Amino acid sequence: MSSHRVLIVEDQPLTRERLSGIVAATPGLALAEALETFSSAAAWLESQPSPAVMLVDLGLPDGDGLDLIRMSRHLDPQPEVMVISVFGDERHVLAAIEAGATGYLLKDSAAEEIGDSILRLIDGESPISSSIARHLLKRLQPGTQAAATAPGANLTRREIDVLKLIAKGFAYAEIAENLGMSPHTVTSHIKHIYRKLQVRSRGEAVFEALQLGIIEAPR
Amino acid sequence: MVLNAGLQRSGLIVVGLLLSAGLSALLAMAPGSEHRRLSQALFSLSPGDEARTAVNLPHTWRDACSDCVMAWYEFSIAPPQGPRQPMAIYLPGVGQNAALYFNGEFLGQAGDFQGRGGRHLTDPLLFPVAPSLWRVDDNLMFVLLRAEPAQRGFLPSPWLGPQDSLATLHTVQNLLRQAVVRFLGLACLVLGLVLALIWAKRPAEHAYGWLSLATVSWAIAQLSITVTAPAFEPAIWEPLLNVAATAAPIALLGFVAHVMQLDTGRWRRGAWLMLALTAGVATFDPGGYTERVMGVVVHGLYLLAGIMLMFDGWRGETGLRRCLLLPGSALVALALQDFPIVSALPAFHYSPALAVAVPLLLVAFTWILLGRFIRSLEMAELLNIDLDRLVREKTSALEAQFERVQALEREKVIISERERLMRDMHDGIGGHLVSTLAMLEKSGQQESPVATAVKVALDDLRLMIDSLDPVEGDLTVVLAMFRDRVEPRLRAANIRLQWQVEDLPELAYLGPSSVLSILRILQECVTNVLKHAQASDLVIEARAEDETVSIRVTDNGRGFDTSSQGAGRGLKNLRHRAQELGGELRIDSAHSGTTTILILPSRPA
Repeated sequence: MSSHRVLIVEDQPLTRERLSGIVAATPGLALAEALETFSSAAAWLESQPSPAVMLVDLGLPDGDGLDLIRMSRHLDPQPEVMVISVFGDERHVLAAIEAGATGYLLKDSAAEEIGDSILRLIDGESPISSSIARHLLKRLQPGTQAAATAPGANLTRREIDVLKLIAKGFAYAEIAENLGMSPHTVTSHIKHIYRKLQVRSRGEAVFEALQLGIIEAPR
Repeated sequence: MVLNAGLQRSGLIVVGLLLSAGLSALLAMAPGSEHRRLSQALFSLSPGDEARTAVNLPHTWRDACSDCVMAWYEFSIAPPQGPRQPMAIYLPGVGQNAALYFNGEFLGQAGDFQGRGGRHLTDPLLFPVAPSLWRVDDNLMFVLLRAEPAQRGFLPSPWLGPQDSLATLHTVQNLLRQAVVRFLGLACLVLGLVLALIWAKRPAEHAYGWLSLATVSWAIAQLSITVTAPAFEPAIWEPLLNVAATAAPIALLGFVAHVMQLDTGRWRRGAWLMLALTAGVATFDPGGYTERVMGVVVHGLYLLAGIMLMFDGWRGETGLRRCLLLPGSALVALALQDFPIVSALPAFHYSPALAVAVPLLLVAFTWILLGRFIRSLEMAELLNIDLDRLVREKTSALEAQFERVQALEREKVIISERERLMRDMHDGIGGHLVSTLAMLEKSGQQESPVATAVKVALDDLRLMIDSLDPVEGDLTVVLAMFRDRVEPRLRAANIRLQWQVEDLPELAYLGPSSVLSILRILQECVTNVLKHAQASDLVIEARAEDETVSIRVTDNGRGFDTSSQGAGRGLKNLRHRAQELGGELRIDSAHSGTTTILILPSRPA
């Protein structure tokens, strides 16, 4: 099995070098490219075969990392996207997930932790923190306006259960035991929830666009 | 049981008729059979007149002379039979002024014979006859009457009888015909003025105006009964009373029409026209028949009012409306009965029942109307009170809402401040710290004290940011955030974490600073475990007790001496933080491990 190609977009040289080193040193991962700016990354995504994983910092000097994430949604195959964050706070992470990211990395995590979570993401396991779960619950409450424009975006009862337990601080294994499901099911629930947030945010965008008259409602 | 409507109507009419019959019977009360009625007299226009004519009483002498002022009646009376007792002459009402002479002696007089013509229309008069005046054979009594040409000349049958019983009768009749009428007249005046005041404030409500006019007019008109000495010359006094006497039934008709919802401009114009006509006739008619004509017209108007009341009461759907049948029928009966009196048919005593019935009716109507007015005032007051209450409720609701908005606003400020801080820290100090770490790692110093210090700084920064996330009083949320931060570190150190957190009660006092304190205490505990304990297992428990919530951090490491100087300073710091939260910190360390318990109050101290 060939290694998964990883693209890194990070403007801080030291962090970029560190991440590059970790990726290169992790078995199963190969560094495709480490880029510093929005424009070079955008050009790279247009010209190169799509990577398996893209690690991206949101605060790039010449553009918004969120736009890179949105761009990556149109690639085939779609890369997994991890947002690089100092704090892993929900403001950063939720915005990234809405744009299409499926995970986040803390910048100062230990080397093994970083390599490990990239591999797990490729394997289908999205990381999630309790505060992100809590904000997701708030964001995806059923019955909001956007639910009408994006009916697929409502959480299932099971997904809500999972989010509630995460928000209370339980780990995947504990949740799986608690809800009587496999740990793998818990992680796939998380991934679904991330997708729904993405759909929901698109729904909200459509709703707003309809409200503003930017697009016309289908007849 | 609700009476059948027809029965109810008939019943009301019967009651009205019975009441009117009772009133007339009272007014017509005559002396009993032990008294002698003097029904025959010799009549002349002056004492010296030889042409005396025998007349039957009651007698109206104005027919014989329209412009005469005096009349003279001569009675021949046989002495009383039986035991001697004080006797008296009783005159039920003489029309105007009277003087009595008995066997040449002056018995007494009612009213003035020199000045303006007096009025004793319904005034019963009593003249005691001293026993010494009686002659054994024939006794001669003269009655001298005086009336202005505009007035009626009239004499009813005098009665002769024992003074005691006649005095009683006189008292009763005086009460009925004078005191009651006077009292009702005064009541009419007062109520009428009150109505006028209300009407001045509410000119659109004609009911007040009509009834005010009726009552005040009546109060003036009844002066013709109750005032024996006129205040003005007859040329002014008589027309004034006549106009008032006509205005009262006209206004009563207006009121009835208003009640029947016939109160149109035409009605009002008609009423004013009629008043003007009456005033004209009363002022300029020199003939002396005015009073009689007026009496007929006025009684005709009262009859009409009674008929209209009956009509409206008969049609009425509600019980209250039907009650109009009662005054209506009484008014009709009494007006009909009084007709002969006012048109001077000499069959009755001069004591019109309407003089009592009309003011009674007016007072009753006024009372009802004032009651309605007062109720409407009370309603308005109640409405005001209600409004007041509503305003108070709305105000407090607004205040509560304002407070909620303010709380939201504060929360929003915190959130946006947190976002600003995070952005700044992310791009600024946080990024620098991370870069520094990367630099140290690159140069192989990732375990150096500098690297550790940088990590501590970064961790504390994260705690600060976490603490600014609104937790809505949920301590499990705080603990969960803590777990997110600490678990990768524990994993890297090969320490197994057991998470035993129950659902905890809401701690209303959890705000950014208290959350930060809790996070720092826990962080310190775990850092100590990572640094010194050489543990393989860490248990974090949280549970609710009666008044407290306790968080317990237990490791299976080698423990430490809590009394050592270095440990002491750190612990003092932690304890201080716990106290600031209103809780306490207990540390129990042995060779088999350390247990740290943070006890927090369920409610703020």
